[in-house]
Amino acid sequence: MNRKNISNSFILVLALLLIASVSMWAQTPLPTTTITGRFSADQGGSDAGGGHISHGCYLCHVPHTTGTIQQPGAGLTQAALGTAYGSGTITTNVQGAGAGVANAGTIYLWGQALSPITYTTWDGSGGPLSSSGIKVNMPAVHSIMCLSCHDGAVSDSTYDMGGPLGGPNGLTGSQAGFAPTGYAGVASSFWTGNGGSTGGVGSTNNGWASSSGLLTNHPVHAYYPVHTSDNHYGQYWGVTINTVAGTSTVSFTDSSFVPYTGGAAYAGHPARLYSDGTYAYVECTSCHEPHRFGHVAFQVNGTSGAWVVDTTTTPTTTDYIRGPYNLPTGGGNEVPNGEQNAGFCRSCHYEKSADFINNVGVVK
Amino acid sequence: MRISIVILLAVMLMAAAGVAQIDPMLGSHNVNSAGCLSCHAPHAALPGKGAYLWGGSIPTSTYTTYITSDGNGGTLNAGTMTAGLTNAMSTAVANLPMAHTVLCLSCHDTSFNTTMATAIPGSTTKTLNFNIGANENLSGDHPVDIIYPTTNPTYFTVTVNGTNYTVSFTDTLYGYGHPAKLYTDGVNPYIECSSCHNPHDQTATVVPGVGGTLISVCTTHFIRGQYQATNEVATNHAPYPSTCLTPTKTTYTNDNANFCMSCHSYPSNQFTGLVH
Repeated sequence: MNRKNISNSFILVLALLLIASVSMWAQTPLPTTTITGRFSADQGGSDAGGGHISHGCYLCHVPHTTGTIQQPGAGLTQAALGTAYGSGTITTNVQGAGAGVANAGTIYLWGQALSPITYTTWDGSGGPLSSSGIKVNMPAVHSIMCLSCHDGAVSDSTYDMGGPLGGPNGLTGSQAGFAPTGYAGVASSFWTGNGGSTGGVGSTNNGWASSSGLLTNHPVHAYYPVHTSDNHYGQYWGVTINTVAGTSTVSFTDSSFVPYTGGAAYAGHPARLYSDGTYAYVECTSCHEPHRFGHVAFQVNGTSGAWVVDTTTTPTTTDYIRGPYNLPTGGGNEVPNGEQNAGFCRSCHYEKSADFINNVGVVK
Repeated sequence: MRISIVILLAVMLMAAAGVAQIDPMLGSHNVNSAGCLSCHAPHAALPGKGAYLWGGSIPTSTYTTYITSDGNGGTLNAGTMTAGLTNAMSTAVANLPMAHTVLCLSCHDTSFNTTMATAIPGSTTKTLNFNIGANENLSGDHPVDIIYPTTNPTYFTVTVNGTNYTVSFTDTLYGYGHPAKLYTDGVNPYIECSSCHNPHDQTATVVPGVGGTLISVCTTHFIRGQYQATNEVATNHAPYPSTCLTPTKTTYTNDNANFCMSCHSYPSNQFTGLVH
């Protein structure tokens, strides 16, 4: 065997080894990251999306209006993922509740049909909450999109999550994370009779069922007082509206509020308000950040660009709440902290904070 | 030895993690470290503005209440509130005075809320310290859900704002201010449980003194004014007094009487009328 033949053989062997190794590499399963959340046993860990992540971003958003997704056993169909609707298509409600459902494809690439229902909210201050005529820059979008899944009366029944969330056949009570059994660690018998259970004045309308009511829920699509003439002005932390055509934002003017002892590093107002340029609104995603189940990310002291994005240990949160928050019944690395939890509420409800008492006086 | 130390540290860490965190303002109303969720439910609450997103059941019984010397009081029909909640969008319902008593009874009436009376939940069993209204009996308690006397000279006078549903004391001279809160249906001023108690603030508060000067005071039992605690009167309002968390004064003094006199003007120096 001459020198040239040896060289050719060497190259051939090398090529074969290379092909074999590539082949083996291709067949080796990619490393997987287990992302768990509220709908599993683990409520902590490295979860960034909780129950919302069960199909990746595709559960809510569709990158295109056609095509299929292969999720054997997942139970989701094209229609469930919104791919059958097409951007801007007007279709009927997925459960036949009515016609004229605006598809949300043009709104954050939303993959779900939006409910045609006009919801009755807790105080109705922000006007009707409905998908009718809704556009991407409207504050109500940030409630309507949530309801497209969480109102089980209108969401797609093909969800493979035990049925539609919170609906007549879907997750209810503690499964949906909103009471009444063992809610917040308080014995179930105490909560019996509230909006989510039997008996009591709220039994016929839990806000998630077909009655279209949100009466039993924290106000959404409600005015947050901005102007001195607004109702309840002075009872909530001051905000300013940064008016930009179509993309107005709302900022808290305070930079000193500390939500809980030891939380000075996270001083600020985690909640997010929305604006149409004139008013500030509270929507579902004012308190909940649907992309982060267990970890917070918010502007500290209202300083632009100074974001706390914690992905390790503290402060943690739960149920997509925007600020540090941990329930007594929590799992994972949750540590119940009533002051911290109350601090999140007080980051809007100024009147309930020690700051108010110190600055203004007795709460009247 | 090293293993023992590691185990000990681990146990200590676990214990620390399990310790419920206090809230200086909510105090014992921070039930099981649930924070605001101790009483309010952001989802699946009682419907209606007048229920303040209440997370629990509310009683519907008729309570026997204290009857005053002039014959007022005697009955609190809690079911009236339940009926009123059906008209959830009414401003009048939102300001339903009765709510500020009935919601308290949803926990403090241990005949109604037997669970709360015996076990406030989670891993720690507690007993409700203040069992009030059991067996629908409030006859031995300060009058609640009763109209504040507007024509009786032994009470400080008030003004009702029927538009904003607020009640204001007209006096500006009483040195301890008027921390009590009265409620209204738009016509009459009412005394309810939370006229004297602020359920969101257990140990300290700031009250307006003469000329509107804010006075930082310690209190206890969620009382709206200075009461049975360290006297911490400041020349101006001070930061939320941390010393109030460990009150040292346990005897009743004039300070406590001053709170009562902020409504009951007769024993106060401001009273100039004639009584017999």
